[in-house]
Amino acid sequence: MEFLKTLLPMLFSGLKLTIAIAVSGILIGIVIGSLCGYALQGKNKLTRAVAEVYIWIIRATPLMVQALYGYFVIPKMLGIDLSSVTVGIMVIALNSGAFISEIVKGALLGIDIGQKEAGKSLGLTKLQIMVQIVIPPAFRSALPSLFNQFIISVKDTALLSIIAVNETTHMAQNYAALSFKAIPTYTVLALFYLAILSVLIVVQRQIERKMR
Amino acid sequence: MKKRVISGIIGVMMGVCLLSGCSQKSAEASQSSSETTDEDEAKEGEAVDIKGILNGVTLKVGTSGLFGPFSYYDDDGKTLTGYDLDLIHELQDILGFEIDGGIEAMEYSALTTSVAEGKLDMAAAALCATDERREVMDFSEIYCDSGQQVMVNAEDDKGITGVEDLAGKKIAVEKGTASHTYAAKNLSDTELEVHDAITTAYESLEQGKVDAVIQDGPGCAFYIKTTDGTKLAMVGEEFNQGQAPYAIAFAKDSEYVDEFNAALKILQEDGILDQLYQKWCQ
Repeated sequence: MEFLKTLLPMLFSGLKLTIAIAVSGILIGIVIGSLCGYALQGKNKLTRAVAEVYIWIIRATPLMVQALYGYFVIPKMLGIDLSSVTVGIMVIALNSGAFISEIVKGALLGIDIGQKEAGKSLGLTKLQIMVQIVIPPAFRSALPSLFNQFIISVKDTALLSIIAVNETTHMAQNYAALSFKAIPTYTVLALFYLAILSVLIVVQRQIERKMR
Repeated sequence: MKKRVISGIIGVMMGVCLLSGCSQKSAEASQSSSETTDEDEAKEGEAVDIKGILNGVTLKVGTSGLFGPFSYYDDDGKTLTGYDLDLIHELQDILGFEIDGGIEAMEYSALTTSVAEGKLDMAAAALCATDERREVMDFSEIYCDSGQQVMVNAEDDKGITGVEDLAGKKIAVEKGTASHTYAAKNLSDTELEVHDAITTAYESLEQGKVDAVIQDGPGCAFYIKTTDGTKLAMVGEEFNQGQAPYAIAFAKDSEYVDEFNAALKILQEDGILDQLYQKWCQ
């Protein structure tokens, strides 16, 4: 158990980055996803096409490949320098954004047309109908799925190990590579994720219950 | 289900052992090599007799095809070439054995598992004779021993001229290699970036994302030699010698190890090993 003295602080330092990347990623992802989700169920053909192309590209390429591309290829093409953490946040944001688009689209379409018509008959503007009538219940119905996407994003950060982001999994791999304690290290890593994600799953259950 | 879990765990364990193979303590290796030199001396008189001693013997031989300049595919993507391939052919010339169906190339974990399970008689693939591997297979004498080398981006001068200038710099290494172990132990005043593969470490240095890369000397030389338009250059002397001792692996309790050691000794004495090193590793 002596090894835990070294491993656990490494895992917690990795966890900070894991959570930081997942939270910033999902927040940006919610913005992207809301815009694209709105575009998907809207009538403007151009914005709908843009959203569809974006979702198609993200869904049809592995996250790991996006990370490599974002870290090595895009900065070189644009002549800029991006840190691996910045690229990590971008990749998680774009990924969660693509899946959130579908969640948002579904939530918006799920609002009964009669409610919008009721708003219209009351003389509300389109924006007022959206903000006051459609978004509140749509957000409530989408929240459990959004939180589920957050859980997925937390796990997805493990793939950023490929561009040397010092998140939880990467730290564990580093420790295993140096100490040769592969079995205890990966067992502790698995239990560590299990504990963290269990907390998130419990939170999600609570949200689901409250929204009902 | 239980079996699966167990084999999964074993798989993970083996993978890590293999990946981290090169960073194993070389003390053990050099110790065992000094033990066997005594045996070799006793056998010196036999050296002449081993010529053609394995005539008519057919061996299954494997290599990796993954690790230039030791074992990799030529530009056509089909022909295996490198130091280890030349070495196998030199040994064949002396001992006279046949290779069953040509040299098989497989990635490291499959290769070492095959040797450990006796599916291959031997493997030459810049394999480090680590303690873990010694438990499941036999090894020849060490035929090549590389040190580590510092690489920098020549167009991005950070004033690094060797391993002593790395304090405060950002350094990339490949996970589990001798360089990784060295940096983790000795370069605590640097910012260490650990990459899953050496290719991303090199690319990071090409793009100036890190200040230096540490890697086995032959690997550095090979990358520079084979990469058009590279900005990378080696600086300083090789250091940390003896951390990546390469040996030929044999199935456990192989009856041929002594013959191969005798043949390696001949190659050493005739300067062939030096020639191979100069041909491939510089």
